[in-house]
Amino acid sequence: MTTALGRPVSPELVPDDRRGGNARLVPLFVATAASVGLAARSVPVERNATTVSAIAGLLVAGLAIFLLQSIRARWASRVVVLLGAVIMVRYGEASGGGAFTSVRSLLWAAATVAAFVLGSRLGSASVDARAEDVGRGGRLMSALQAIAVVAALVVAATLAFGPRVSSWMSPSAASGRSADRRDRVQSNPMVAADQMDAASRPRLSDRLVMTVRSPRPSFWRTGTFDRFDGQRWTRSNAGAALVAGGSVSTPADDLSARSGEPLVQRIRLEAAYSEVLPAAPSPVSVESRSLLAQWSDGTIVAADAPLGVGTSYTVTSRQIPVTDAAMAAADGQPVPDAVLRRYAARPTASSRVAQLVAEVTAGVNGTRAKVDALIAWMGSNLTYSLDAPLPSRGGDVVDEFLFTTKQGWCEQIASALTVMLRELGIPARVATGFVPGEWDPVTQAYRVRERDAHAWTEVWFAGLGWVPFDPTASVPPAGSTTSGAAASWWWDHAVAVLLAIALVVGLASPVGRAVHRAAAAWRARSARRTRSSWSPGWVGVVVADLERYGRRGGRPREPNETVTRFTAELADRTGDSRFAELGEALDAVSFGADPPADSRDRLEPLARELSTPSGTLGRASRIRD
Amino acid sequence: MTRRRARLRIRPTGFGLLLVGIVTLALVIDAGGADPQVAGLAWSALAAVVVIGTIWPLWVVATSTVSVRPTGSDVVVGDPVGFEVTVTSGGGPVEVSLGGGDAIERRWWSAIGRSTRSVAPTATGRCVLRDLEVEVRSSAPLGVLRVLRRHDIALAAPVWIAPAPIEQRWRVESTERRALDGSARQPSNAGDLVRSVRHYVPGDPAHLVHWPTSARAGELLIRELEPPGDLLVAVVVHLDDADDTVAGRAAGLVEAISEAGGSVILCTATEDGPAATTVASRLHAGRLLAAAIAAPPAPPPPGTRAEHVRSSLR
Repeated sequence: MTTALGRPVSPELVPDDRRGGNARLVPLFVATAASVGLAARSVPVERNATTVSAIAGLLVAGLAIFLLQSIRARWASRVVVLLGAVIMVRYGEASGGGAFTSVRSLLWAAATVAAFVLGSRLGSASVDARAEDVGRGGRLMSALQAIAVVAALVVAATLAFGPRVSSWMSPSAASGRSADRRDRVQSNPMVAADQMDAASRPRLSDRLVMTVRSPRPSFWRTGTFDRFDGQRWTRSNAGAALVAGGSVSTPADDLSARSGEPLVQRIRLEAAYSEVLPAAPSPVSVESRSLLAQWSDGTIVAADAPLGVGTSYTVTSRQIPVTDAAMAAADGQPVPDAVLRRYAARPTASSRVAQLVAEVTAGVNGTRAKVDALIAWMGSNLTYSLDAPLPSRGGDVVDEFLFTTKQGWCEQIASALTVMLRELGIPARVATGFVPGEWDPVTQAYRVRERDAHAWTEVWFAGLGWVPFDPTASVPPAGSTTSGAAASWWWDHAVAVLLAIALVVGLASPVGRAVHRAAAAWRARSARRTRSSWSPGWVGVVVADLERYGRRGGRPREPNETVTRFTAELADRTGDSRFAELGEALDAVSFGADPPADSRDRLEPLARELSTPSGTLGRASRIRD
Repeated sequence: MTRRRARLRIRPTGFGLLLVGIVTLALVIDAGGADPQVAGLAWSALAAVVVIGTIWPLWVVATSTVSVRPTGSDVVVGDPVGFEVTVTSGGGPVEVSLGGGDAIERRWWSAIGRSTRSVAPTATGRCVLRDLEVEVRSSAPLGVLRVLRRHDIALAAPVWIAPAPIEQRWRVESTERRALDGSARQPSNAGDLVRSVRHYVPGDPAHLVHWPTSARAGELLIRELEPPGDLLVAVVVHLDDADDTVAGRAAGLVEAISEAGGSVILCTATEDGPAATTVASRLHAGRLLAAAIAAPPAPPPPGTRAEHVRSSLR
């Protein structure tokens, strides 16, 4: 290529992407506002968290996109979205505002992707604002398609890798904020209590208490009680000793602590005030930045100052796998006197409680069977209700619960079972703490709330130690619960479903184009079949086939080239004289003449061959120069 | 046939660098009391954005295809040069530019999916345009990484970009005028004698088309007329890379001579060596000048009047 004149002109890019028009900025504004609002939602705000975060998102996005004229809209959007991400990473909390859920983090990811994609398209659109190759509708569909595919991929990646990253980011121990002493009330399940009042109604709310990363679920125990006076449970050996070197001393009767399988839990407190550190039984070691102490039963508590939101610690517990055979084998083994004295002494109970126990367990052999019989009776004759009437002050809580009210909550149910077991001389105690909580499939951690606070019975078995039994689970509740089976399936297959969505949406356009082309080709073939040969319509179709053939072979028809000339050139290059004859015949028909009859038979196969995509001529063939 | 040679250029955008910086800092800086659950999810999302934003444009640009077809064959510098560009890109919008070195101005436009667009950049340099550079770039969908791929495409048929004629005055000498007036030698024709027929070349006057012959032959044929008189002028073009008016002045001179009734032999230097060619038409002259290079031209044929066109800078 030789040149002698001119110099290259620099690319002409429209510098201001605002010239796309405000219509293009509106979706960007919406996506940016959503991203910033959801990020702000993760930061704890005392009141009206949703309103505050929504207003914050709208204001910031509006300022960035519409008011800062000196900054490009897409850059302003990106900066504020990233600022929201930084705030979310640094200050966001799973308990933010009391209602931030991990699902919102996925929505934030999707909104962020939408803001980035729209911002990128804004810059692309500014290259040539007059470009109308696809049209406004096509560009909108293309943008939506891109957002859907990328958002699905990002959310799938977040679900797949987020929990691992969170686990990696989680320190084994960290100090949290200062505890809020206003929450130091008896009804707070995180307050270290020396007694459990079975006659007082518990405080159960949706407030998040802690999040637990554990390979398997367990009760998160906060204390045990072995003495009952008819209304309250207390703990003998109520003193506490400092935890030295992270090692938790366990009593002699805690057999799991000596030979059980380890269970490591990483726990982050979300409650505003905590004195006790919940852990799966039986804790043997703890890693924390706070000074800790322990009770005689192994319960870990704060030694000097209560703990606030953000305190995290790691506990290693040991648990012996419990099997029916192991429990059955325990029946033949002796129970240590110390265990019998402390946990199997005749309780303070009415005579009819003893009579009931005898009736229910008549003919039942074995500790496990007796426990099951009592639990079954409770399940058939009692109901669970938080609104049950409070027991009378000074009265026998268990007697009133079993024979008068016949409804109550977990502390009364657990107390009743423990008392009944002690009537049989079976070592039992009441334990308090929390049920495993709600499994969060996004963060892959257990989210434990105040309403998960619970009380259950622990029964001592020789060779096994303390085995938990939850009679409340057998007692029918007042309302019904949904199974959540559908939701569980979705979360179990979320990553696969999102990848499938991305694949389907991503392939929609090329598949659609392929289908459209196939339909157009079928219509063209149908038109050829229906039109009579050598009619003007048929001639036009054949000429189009010739032009396509020449184009694919590298010899396109020139704009001012007659069909005769063009086909003569094709004949010359391909060595097939039929092309020239066909061209002459087509031109003749175009001007009203009939082609020679003898040539029709020779030329029609060529025309058909040109129109067949799978034929030799229909496929792209190289025409020699 | 379209011959392609593609080159790939990759560079991160400012936004991409900012994003990578934030993702890196989030890992190395102790977040203190931040909730690792929220931090982990947010970090994973941003990291996924970085990864997807890096892979996607690479795939989009690497799988893009381009084909170019010129819609005209002869233009003059300053006029638009028409091309039909078909771009196929899956996965998002791309920006496409068409350039031809110094010959045509570079133009950018955006394309989505499969699109065919007619572009007409202005011809800025005289040449025979046989190759084009088509650049396809994309940072879609997230603007993290910008990938540019250059396709060098050889056109199936060249585009002749002729110099814009610069008006020249040319005077017929008295001796030559007598020849034209017929005092000594009567011109054998008045300029209307048909010498031959030849194929139509775009630019030929429509009134020269011989329609009966064209209808019989099935293609356009024009009458080639004998030039009036025996006036034959050799225009010797001494091109100079430093002076881009030489070709234009030569074109203007050819036009002036032709309008005065003379025939022109254009003496130029081509890539194949010096050449002296009889100019058949204005279009033909344009093509000869488009293909000329800055080298010693062919000498004028003996017996012809020579007009030398040189650089005015020397």
